[in-house]
Amino acid sequence: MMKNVLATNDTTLDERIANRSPDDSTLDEKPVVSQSVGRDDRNPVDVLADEFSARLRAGESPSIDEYVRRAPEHEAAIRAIFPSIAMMEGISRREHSERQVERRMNRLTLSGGETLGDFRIVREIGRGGMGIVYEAEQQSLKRRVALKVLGPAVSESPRQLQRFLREAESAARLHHTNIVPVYGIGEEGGVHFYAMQFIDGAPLSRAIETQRDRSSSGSPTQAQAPPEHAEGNRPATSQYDSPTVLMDPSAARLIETQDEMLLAGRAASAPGQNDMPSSPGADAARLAESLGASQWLSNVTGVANFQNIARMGAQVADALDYAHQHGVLHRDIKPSNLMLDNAGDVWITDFGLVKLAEQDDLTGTGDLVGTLRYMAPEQFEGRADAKTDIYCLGLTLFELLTLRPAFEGDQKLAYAKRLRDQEVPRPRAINAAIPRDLETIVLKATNAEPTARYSTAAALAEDLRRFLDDRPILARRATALERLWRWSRRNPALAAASGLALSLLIGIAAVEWNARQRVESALGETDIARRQAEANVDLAVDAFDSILENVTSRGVPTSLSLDVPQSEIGLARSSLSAADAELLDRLLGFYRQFAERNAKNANLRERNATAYHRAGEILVRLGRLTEAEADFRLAMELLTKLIEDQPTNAAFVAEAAHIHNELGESMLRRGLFHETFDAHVEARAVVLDQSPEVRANPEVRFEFARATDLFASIDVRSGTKDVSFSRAPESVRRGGPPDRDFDDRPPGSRHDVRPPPRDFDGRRPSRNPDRKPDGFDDRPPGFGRGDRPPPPPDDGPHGPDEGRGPGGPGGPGGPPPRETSERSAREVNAMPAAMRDPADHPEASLAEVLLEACDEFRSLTREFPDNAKFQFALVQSLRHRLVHAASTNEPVVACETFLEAVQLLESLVAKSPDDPRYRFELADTLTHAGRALNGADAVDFLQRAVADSELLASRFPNVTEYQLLLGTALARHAASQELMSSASAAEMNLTRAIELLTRLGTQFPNQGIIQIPLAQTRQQLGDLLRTSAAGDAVAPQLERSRTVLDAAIADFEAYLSTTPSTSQFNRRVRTQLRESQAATLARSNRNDTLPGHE
Amino acid sequence: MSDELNSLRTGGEAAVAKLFAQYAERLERLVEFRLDARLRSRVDPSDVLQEAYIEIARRIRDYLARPEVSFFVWIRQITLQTLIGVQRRHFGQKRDLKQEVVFPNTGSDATSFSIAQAICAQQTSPSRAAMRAEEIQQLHAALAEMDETDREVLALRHFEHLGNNEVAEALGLSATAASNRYVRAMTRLAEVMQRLSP
Repeated sequence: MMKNVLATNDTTLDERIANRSPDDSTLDEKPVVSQSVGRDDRNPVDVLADEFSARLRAGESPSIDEYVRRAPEHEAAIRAIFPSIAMMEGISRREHSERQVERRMNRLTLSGGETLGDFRIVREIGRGGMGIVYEAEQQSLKRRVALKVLGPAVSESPRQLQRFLREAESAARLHHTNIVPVYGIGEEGGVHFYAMQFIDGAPLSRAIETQRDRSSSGSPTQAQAPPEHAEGNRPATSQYDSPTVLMDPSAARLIETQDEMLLAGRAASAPGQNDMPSSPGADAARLAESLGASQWLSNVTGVANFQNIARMGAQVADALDYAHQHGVLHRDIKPSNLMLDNAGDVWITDFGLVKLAEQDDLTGTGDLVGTLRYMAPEQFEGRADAKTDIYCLGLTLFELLTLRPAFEGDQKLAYAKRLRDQEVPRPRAINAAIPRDLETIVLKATNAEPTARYSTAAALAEDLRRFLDDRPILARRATALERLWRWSRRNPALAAASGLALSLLIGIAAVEWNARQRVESALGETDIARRQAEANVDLAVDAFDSILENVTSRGVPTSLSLDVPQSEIGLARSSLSAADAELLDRLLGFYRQFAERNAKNANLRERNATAYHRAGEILVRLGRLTEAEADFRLAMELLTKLIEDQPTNAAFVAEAAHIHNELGESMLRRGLFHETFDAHVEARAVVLDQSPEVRANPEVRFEFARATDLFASIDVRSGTKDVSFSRAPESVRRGGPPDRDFDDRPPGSRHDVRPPPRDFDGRRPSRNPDRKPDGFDDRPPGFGRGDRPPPPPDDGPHGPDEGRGPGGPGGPGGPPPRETSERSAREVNAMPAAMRDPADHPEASLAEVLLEACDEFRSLTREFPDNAKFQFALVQSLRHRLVHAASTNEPVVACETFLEAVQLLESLVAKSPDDPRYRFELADTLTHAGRALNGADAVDFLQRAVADSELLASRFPNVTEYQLLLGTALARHAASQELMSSASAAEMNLTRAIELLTRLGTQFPNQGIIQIPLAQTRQQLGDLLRTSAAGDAVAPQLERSRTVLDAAIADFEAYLSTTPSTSQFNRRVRTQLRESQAATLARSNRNDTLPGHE
Repeated sequence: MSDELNSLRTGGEAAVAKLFAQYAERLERLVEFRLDARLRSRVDPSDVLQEAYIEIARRIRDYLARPEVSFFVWIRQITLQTLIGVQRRHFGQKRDLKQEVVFPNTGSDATSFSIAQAICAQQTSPSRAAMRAEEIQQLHAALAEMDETDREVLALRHFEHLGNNEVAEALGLSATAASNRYVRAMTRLAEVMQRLSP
């Protein structure tokens, strides 16, 4: 009944009661007029609650325990409701104080004809956080002024007010033809204001909009926003024709989060003189004005337009330089703070003032987005100097040239992009007509690295004038190297920036996500509110993904730690800066919290799966592999359910396969080869279970091919491939064909791993000798293929392969690592029938499986030529194949594969010169030249490998992987030089490599990934010194060989004593060292006994 | 109470003004809380109070002749009616506005809406803003699920700062019923909040 009464707008409950007649039947409960009602009539908890509320209102912080003590019999009720009471009171109090502020602001509103001191108000021309701007007349001087009345945010905070007065005074001292003069500061009746010259014109922001409207749709009211904005969640209106929408609080909020220019009466945007709407009438007048002023943009086109922009830019730059010389920063240069007058000149307004109001309260998301758009990177860290103004002017020029903000998109993108790509896009990519020199100037001004910008605003002005005069500009275009260098430099800034954004984002995501489900029913404006909540969550999550992507895409390349033996010794942690590690930790916290909070919500399964997935990825980066695997499995559980529910959703299948593959890679790093196999087999199985339609999805195909590739290359990636190479004895080797020798060069720095061929097969390293033979039982429930039984461990279709003796088909290129032939049987049996049957020809079969992966990647890259991920995967697959081919003596295949990989990588590097991953992969692949090519050809490629890795190592001196890569390249180059009989050149390279690796070795004394290459490179040098010793130099050469080898043995023994690992591999390296030492000693002895021989 | 009535009967308009001033802060809260957000920049609560006061002065004689409720509850009702009238005038002027958006924010249905509006006006630091948005969102959602009268009880108690007896009068309940309703509503709210924030 009550509901019906309340359902109409016009008759509310209160109204009913207000109007009721004395005999209204609703009065049966007999309203009590007298206050004498005893407390006995009330619920005792209510009496306590009342007192509790009253004390909160009085500013006390009463403790709930106190009430529990006083009324223990009501403990449950008190504990249940008092926190909510406190919350209610808190909200009520803040509501009240906010309304008060609002009202004080409203009271500052003056209408035409009213006066404030010497000023007679003409009309309101805008309002914002700082206050309200009026057009007014200074009566004593009969001049037109823009009068800015400060809002309560500034005028009621003594500190803010003081700062404002100080800044305003210094701004008032600026006298420049392109700075709006501040006439004075005043106060009347507690109202603070300042007066500046009235500029007849419009802010550049409006001119840009007008121009954009004309150049796009031609409709002056519809095309306020760039096309990206019009994608549905924004009402297509302008601030001029639809006060209705602006009036609606939710709609207004939505709009302002997307474009702070549309703020109505909210304190986010920095108001220029004219940039806020007040009343429709005034809007129309100002629209006409802005059209007048913006003729300077829109009536000129082509070259003249660009000249005009450069001219305006030079004006602003001159004015900035003047201000900087007077020690005044603007801090908020953006189109809305630059006034374009009707003579076509630009004026800077609001010097040093605008940021004041914002500094202490970066407010809701919308404000932050708007602010982010025009912030220089260093401002994220709270720093600002003259270079900051230069940057912001650069962004403004960008916007003038392209008619769109440098960082734009819907709010999500604006947000994420600012955190991720601090690089301004190339203006010419948006409009090819923009002169190249002008683009160069903009890019220099907007360099993310302050030191790379123009050093002064005057220099920027000078270059703009050079452009205007058709003289060569001074700015150079940044080379790829410079961009790469910059890329490495700006990471710390990002981490700091993220600190600010993170706390905000975590709040938004956690909150909105939870509220999201409720908002719909709760709020009147269903759609807008829900979209807002969704957008906020997505925004936050996407921003996190962007930060994560940024962090994880730098530093550690994908392949390295796997491509070296002792693969469990990841360097992941070492290559992260402390800031990055901390950032990752925080992100991890976010993803985990997110997933845990929503664990039970089936609607959020997809987001949760992703959150666990991300958490796992982060843990991998942090080197916490076991935890990572646990999170991956949680993600898998959710994905398994998702796939069951939505079997046609290919994205789930792709993600599931992807996670299995990541699990596999993590297992490999932990040396769990058997589980690695399992994981990749699972990845394939997940895909094979699906319908043909799902399997045809490119991402699914990609993950399937990746599973295949990773499966078939475990031997290569774990490093066990190379130890299986048969090696000829040294004497034979030295006389043998050089390419044969090069075939034997393993990846990593194991240049001189020379096990006697027949010895090797039974001595493959295994990280985990104690592992239970059957690892399937170890899998936690929910992981894996649901109800499908695991493949039988022993009686599979392939049969055991213990019949294969040492050197048999299980040798080079054979199935992955095992310590015994029994073990090997299990590995092989772990393959499902879906794989090629490796029982008959395991070696050929693996190669064939790998070929299948390569072919699929190739098809994908052909179908999607722009997808760098596909190409990158193809390259890695090709490298695996190269190793296989080299080991199975297929020089033609090896050579073709190598060249294909190099060519692909070169194009990837050319396309993304800033991405060090591709450079790394290229350099790394080049070091394999020895496997694929004959001596002389190989030397050329290896030379390049050295040069490329030198570049990376010098640009990223802190990334261990790049240093290690350089060491590897030097050593391999040396090996090729040795073969070309350039012993001294080889010696030089080896010496350098050893120096470098020794330095790394000191840093990581217990890391096999460094100690082993170091030992092997020393051995290589020791061998070289011994074998190349001739003439008079024999004795000293042999002496040096011995010194090098002694040092190698001493350091390696020291390393072995630090590691619990007694792997075959370590032992073999040690044996090799001793053999070399013995050989040197033997030759020394021979030399001593035959003194006259040489 | 009877003291109030006595002073009103003997003190004339000065007494009315004095008592009104005494209650003005809470009446202002009422207007603040229930004034449609879209009108905030145009309507100052003190204008509403002023208009309400005129109405009170006009009707005080009738009231004193037959007081049904306490003076405060009566002037609160008048203030509320005045506010409804003010909003109607504003929205009436702009039909399009009214059609497009929700009903004026004076009814009990709109109580939770009023609270939710707080989300839109964050002027605090980012983290505080987030914290606060969370509280408000949750509260709002919880309120939306509740019985209308219970919700009204909560709003009157916490946003308009009415005492239990005043709530009882304003909603036409007995003091006991109002008190029980308050505890019940608060318990319900706490439960919902619990559920909302795992």
